[in-house]
Order: sequence, then structure tokens, then C-alpha cells
Amino acid sequence: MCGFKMRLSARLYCSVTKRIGELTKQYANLPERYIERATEHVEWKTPNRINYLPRTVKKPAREFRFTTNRPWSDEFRRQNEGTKREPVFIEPIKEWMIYRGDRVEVLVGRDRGKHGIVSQVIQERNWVIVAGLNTHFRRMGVKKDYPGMIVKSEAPLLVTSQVALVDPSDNKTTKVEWRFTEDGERVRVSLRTGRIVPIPHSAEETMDYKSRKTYSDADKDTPASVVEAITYEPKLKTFESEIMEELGIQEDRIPKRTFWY
Amino acid sequence: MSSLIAFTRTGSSGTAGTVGGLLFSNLIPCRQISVSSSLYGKRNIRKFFLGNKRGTRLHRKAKMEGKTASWDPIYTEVKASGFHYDGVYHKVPEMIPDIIVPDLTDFKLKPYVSYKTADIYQTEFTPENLFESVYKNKIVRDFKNNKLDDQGNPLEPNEMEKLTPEEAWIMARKSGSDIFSERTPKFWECLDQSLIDEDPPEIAVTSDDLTHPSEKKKLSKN
Repeated sequence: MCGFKMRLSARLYCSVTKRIGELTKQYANLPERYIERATEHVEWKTPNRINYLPRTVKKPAREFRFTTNRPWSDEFRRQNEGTKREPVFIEPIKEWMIYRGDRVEVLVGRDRGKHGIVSQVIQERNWVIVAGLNTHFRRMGVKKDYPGMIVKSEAPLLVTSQVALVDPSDNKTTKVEWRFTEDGERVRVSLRTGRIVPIPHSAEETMDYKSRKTYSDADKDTPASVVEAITYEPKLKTFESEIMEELGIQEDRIPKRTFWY
Repeated sequence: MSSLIAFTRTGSSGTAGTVGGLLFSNLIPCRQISVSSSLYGKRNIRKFFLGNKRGTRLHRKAKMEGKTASWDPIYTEVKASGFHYDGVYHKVPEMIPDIIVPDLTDFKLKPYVSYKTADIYQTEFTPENLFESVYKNKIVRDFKNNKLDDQGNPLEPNEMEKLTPEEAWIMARKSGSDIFSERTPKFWECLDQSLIDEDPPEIAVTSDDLTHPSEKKKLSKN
């Protein structure tokens, strides 16, 4: 990726996929290899000819500016294609607290004090989109003779300062900490009330299913019972001998001993 | 006889050559022979890249900048199924791959796995596990019913117990697979001492093993 040698710790952050948030990848439910391939913006690749050494110049990971569009989408590509933009400083968060479906209070803007439900989490920018709040109007499909359709769209809010998690027991804002229960389960505990703030069901949602249990099998899906069934019977035979027996191949020739000198 | 008189200018293109005479600066006549006629005229256009009009403007621009890696076609090589000899193509059936598909009637597995399946965690199936599943019960039963002799060998051996090491060796190799062929361990395998035989097994080497088949025929003739 980069043309010079570097430490492994530095090399890991050369890749764009390492900068994409876990929740983003989990919601998309796409294979890691596809995300890698789709997020590498190749600037120059030497032609596939004898007189060229195979070299690819990719856009460095630090020059990417994450947006509300998914990093593997065309819109993201277009937004990151032009001239270099000033880098955006993102506060590194050790433990992520807010999930999709959480009830959250908006602290800034016109909708300050209002509660809403998180509809999208963009970890790469520490953003959260709350449904119906912090909105603005924009026009779509504007033409010379047509004024366009007015669309209401939500603006993202920063998780660190512009939004606060709401404790469901008393519907007030609270700071939250990750702790372990007696059973060993990792839960969020409200620091003010001491109660557990459960992770919402919408957090499990992906592009393919709302929840694993409610997924309905398609034609090409192997049912769960078939996958979980153990069909292996241990036998004192080599793999080849067992197959030969099953297929009814009879071999009477005795192989000759070979020696290596 | 006309002589070629040309005026040289400082900073002219280096295509003109000079023969004889001294070059003076700025508009001084000097004899020269033009050797640059090949670069003037219609044929010179061949030496310049003008491009063509194939493809859209955006596509051509991207191609010039070398940014078409993401949509360049993937060329898959089609392997030959024969060879040319004396201008004639001979098809070799062995070069055409035989795709053997097993009978898939009543086969329950499908290409994808349902999202409903629980995460499966399985530990390694070790040789100890194989021993326990295949042999352990029999030997425990024999021990309890006093069916073992003084040295611990079973009095009623089953088929597996009657098998000698040589027979097992032959059985494993009857498939014709060469993965069991004896060889010297590679240097990374030497780290595992168990793979190196401290005392190699005594193999009885007969004269039959040492003679080449062609020599055997000679011997038989004699």
C-alpha cells in the first residue's frame, strides 16, 4: 500500500477498512474482502504489460473523509474524489455507548431537550442520526420550470457533546459505563441511577434481517437444523480408504515399498 | 550548381544538421544539409499520439490518467486442449478436464447457510478422541470380563485388533494416493523431533527391490 517500510502498528492504519466502524460493518453484513476492495480508491495502476512493474497507487487512508454515505458506495467515492480537503479531527472514543434504537436526548440546536430514537450510527465520525430531529429542508429534482420537491432530512449529531443517552427508568439523561453482571454479561449501567440500560433490539438489525430469529429462509439457504446436525462418525480408516469403501472401489494390488536415499 | 544556403538561428530545433562552415550567432548564413525531412509532412503525424474517438470523453480521460483499474476486464486464460503439429491441430482428450460431479439426490446441504443457525464451536478432534470413540469401550469391557491375557492382549480380538502394522500400512496405501510416500522431513518439520526417526525401522531389502525391471528380464533370459 505505502511504498516504504513501516511498523505493523502504523501499517494497520494504512488500510481504510480498519478505520470503518464495527457497527457500520455489522449493519451492512457484507464480506470483509468486498469492503476492502470497494474502499480502495486506486489512483494509478501500471498497465499489465511486460515493461511495467506491477504497482498500484491508492488514495492514502488518512485522506479519506467519512460522510453519511456508506464507504463502499458510489456517492462516497464521488465525495472523496476531488481535491484534498482539510482533515476532520475525530475524538477517539474508547468504548462506544450508543446503538441503533437507543433513546437519546438532543442537546443542541432547535430541537434541544427533545428525545428521539437513533436511526443510524456512523462511528467513523462519532455521529448519530436521530429520527425526525435536528432536521433541515432541501429540494430534490430542481429544474428550470420545476421548483423541486421539499424533503426533510436529519443532520448528524456528535455522540460526544451533542447527544446524551436517556435512562429508560426515569426518562432523563445519564452518563453510562460498561460493566459486567454476575453472569458475565457485558451491560451498560447508568451512573446516576445504577440501573442497566439494555441494548435495543434494533441494534441487531442488518441489511438482510431485522433479527436472526425472524429471518425466513430463502430457497438457497440450508436450514439451521441441517447445519447443526453432527454427521461425522469416527472410523479407524484413512480418508481415502473410507471413500473407496463407500464407492465400492476394490483394490487388490499391493503397493511397492519405496526408499529414499 | 545551387548550394544550399540556410540561415541558422540560436535556439532552433535540433533537427537540422550542419555540414562545413562555422556557425555564427543570429542570422548568419551557413551551408547545411537538412536531414530532418522525415519529420516534416504528413508521415510525421504517425509519430504523435492523437488518439481516437472510441469511448466516451470521461472514459478516455480516465484511461489516460490510469484510473480504469476498477472496471478493467478480467482476462481469463483459456487453456489449450491439444497441440499444433505440422499445421494440424491434434486434440488431446486428456487435456480436457473431466468434471466429476457426485450424485446429489437427497443431499440436504445448500450453497448458503441460514442466519438462524447458532454459532458452532468445535474443539479439535485429536487422536485421543479417535481412540476413545473407536477402541476404548472394547478394551474396558474385556478388562472387566477378564478377557485379557497376562500381557494385556485381547483373547477375542476383533478385526481391528487383528490388523498388523504392515497390513495397515498396505491398506492405507491401496488407494494409490502418494501423500503417504516416505520422504525426508523438510527443515521446518525437523523442529518437531517426533517426525525424525532416531532409529529407522529395519526394512528387509531384497534383491528383487534393488533390481530394475529391465535388468530382471535380462536375468530371467539368462
